[in-house]
Amino acid sequence: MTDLIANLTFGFGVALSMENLLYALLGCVLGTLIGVLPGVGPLATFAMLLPITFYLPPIGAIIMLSGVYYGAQYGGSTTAILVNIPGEASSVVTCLDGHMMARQGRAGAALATAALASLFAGCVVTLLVAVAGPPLVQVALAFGPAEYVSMILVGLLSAVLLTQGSVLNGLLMVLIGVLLGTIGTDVNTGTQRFTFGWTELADGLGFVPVAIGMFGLAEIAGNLARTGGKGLKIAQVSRLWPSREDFRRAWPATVRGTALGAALGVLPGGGATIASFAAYSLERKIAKDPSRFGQGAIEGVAGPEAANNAGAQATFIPMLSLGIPPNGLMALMLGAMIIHGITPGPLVMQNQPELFWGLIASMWIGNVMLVVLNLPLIGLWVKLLSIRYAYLFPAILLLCAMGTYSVNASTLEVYLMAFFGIAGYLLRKLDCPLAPLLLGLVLGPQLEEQLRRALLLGDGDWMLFIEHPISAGFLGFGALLVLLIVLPAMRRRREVFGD
Amino acid sequence: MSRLLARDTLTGLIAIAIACLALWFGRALPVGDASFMEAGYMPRLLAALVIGLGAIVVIRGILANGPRMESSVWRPILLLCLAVVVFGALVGRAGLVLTTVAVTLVTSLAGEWLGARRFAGLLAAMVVMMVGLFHFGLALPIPLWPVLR
Repeated sequence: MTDLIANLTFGFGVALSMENLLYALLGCVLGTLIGVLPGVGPLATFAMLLPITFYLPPIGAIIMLSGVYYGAQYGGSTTAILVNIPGEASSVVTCLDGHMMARQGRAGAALATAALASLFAGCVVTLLVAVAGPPLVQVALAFGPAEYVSMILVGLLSAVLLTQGSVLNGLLMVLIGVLLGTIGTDVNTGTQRFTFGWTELADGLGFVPVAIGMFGLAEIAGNLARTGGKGLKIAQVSRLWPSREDFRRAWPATVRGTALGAALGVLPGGGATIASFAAYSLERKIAKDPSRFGQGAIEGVAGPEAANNAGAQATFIPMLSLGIPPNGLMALMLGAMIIHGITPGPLVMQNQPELFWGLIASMWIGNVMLVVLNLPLIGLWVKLLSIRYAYLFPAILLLCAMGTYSVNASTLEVYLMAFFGIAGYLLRKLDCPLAPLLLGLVLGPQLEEQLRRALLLGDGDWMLFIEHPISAGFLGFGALLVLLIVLPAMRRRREVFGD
Repeated sequence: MSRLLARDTLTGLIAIAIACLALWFGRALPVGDASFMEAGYMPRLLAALVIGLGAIVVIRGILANGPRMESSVWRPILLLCLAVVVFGALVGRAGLVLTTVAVTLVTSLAGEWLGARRFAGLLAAMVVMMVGLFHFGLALPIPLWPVLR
């Protein structure tokens, strides 16, 4: 306990230096500013701002990048709520109810809820990182490949569970997503798969063009097609602050989301995306009236937003302690640290305590800064909605194209984005949910790697997934979920959510 | 015939087609076995699962004769994608300013016509936004004007 207080005091000493405060502020502002622009999600934001930090001292750079990290994520949910474009897979579920709230004129309440839920989750989980970091790492260390495989499978299953419409279509989308994830160089053998000689595909099919195409382009086109080119008429926002009733509904969801996010975020392969999906499923499952979900239920914003921030914060644990980036953003963070001469791994806590504890302290500071900065600015974000769509969508399209292009300066990825725009539009018309496809694409490579490792160690015996108790537990939970969907009563209830 | 056009039937057929493409283009990949998977193992396993599940969806679609695909408006999405392709083709060569103008022109065809004066304003605003944000703000190494070679 005294250790913890001493460490945190030390950390705040580092983070509260004028210089580092400035970097945290800069990171938060830039991250939010770019993250809030529709179609420029956290990944693109992060990638664009990465070069700037190369001129900073290591601790300042890492503090600023973490500021960009949660700033962009915050901005991403703002965009999800206001324009229905998720900046990242983790804000996909925020679109469902958050955007519906915006259409009902409750954008302000949705944004404030997202901000406050994120702040709460951020503060709690940062404390958790500080208190329970080392022991939690021991738990994750005990996981073998079999456990990872089962965990990822259950995560994908829960993604299908929450999607609207047909479960079979959702499963198909997950499988196609994982199949798309096999594009690129095979990590184990170095064989090129489905790259057709394009070097851009050697690192795999990028998440950014697929996500921006399917959610950005297809969404704009959907808006235009529905309204004959005039775009959506969105109700005026009269109230910026959540009502007492909203608070009453939102805070238990926030607490649940935080707990779920922290638990899932610490596991490599988990993180913000699975956490937000799982939190949404959970909220819908325990709600007295699940039919409100998809219609602007505030729990559907508070739970996932808390969970994705908790998950995002908790992903720092495996990243800092094991050197395993659990998602694309953390992979970029890892790259930045290596460029600055920091080797992420168990030694960071010992050899560079000023980095470890300074970063933890700066997470608190950054989270508070975000809310202080953004709650007054909510009015500004809401104003974006009242701009005529004919002015807005060319800007969104340009930013989408530029966002995709700027990640790798790759023209091919821009063309791929156009392709996935058409594909996404068609799939929408066929009542196929797109979120599971995206999740399959993101988690697919990891799933394959762990599956191969598990079966290599287990000498090709598929039974090993049942023989390992933790893995069997995950699979049992998954089987339970499947049973729940197959139950006809459940199916009837699900159809209520289809549009 | 109409049953073949049910939404589920189409979905299943598209999924099966994708899986078949994966099988065809991955036909040369070595498979290995479960104890040592080679590059072709996962793609084939996934393709088999997609075909199996896709077949179920097709059969369900034919039996249930479910809803047809909504008649959809294809003009906006095709124009938007064309605009993106124009962006990709121009951005490295024509410079940021001309690219922005060309992309905005194509994009705007997808929506309502603003009138000449407002459209000129939109064009100017887009150029200012793109140049300000990406050339001056983020200092991306993209030329402003056409690159003459």
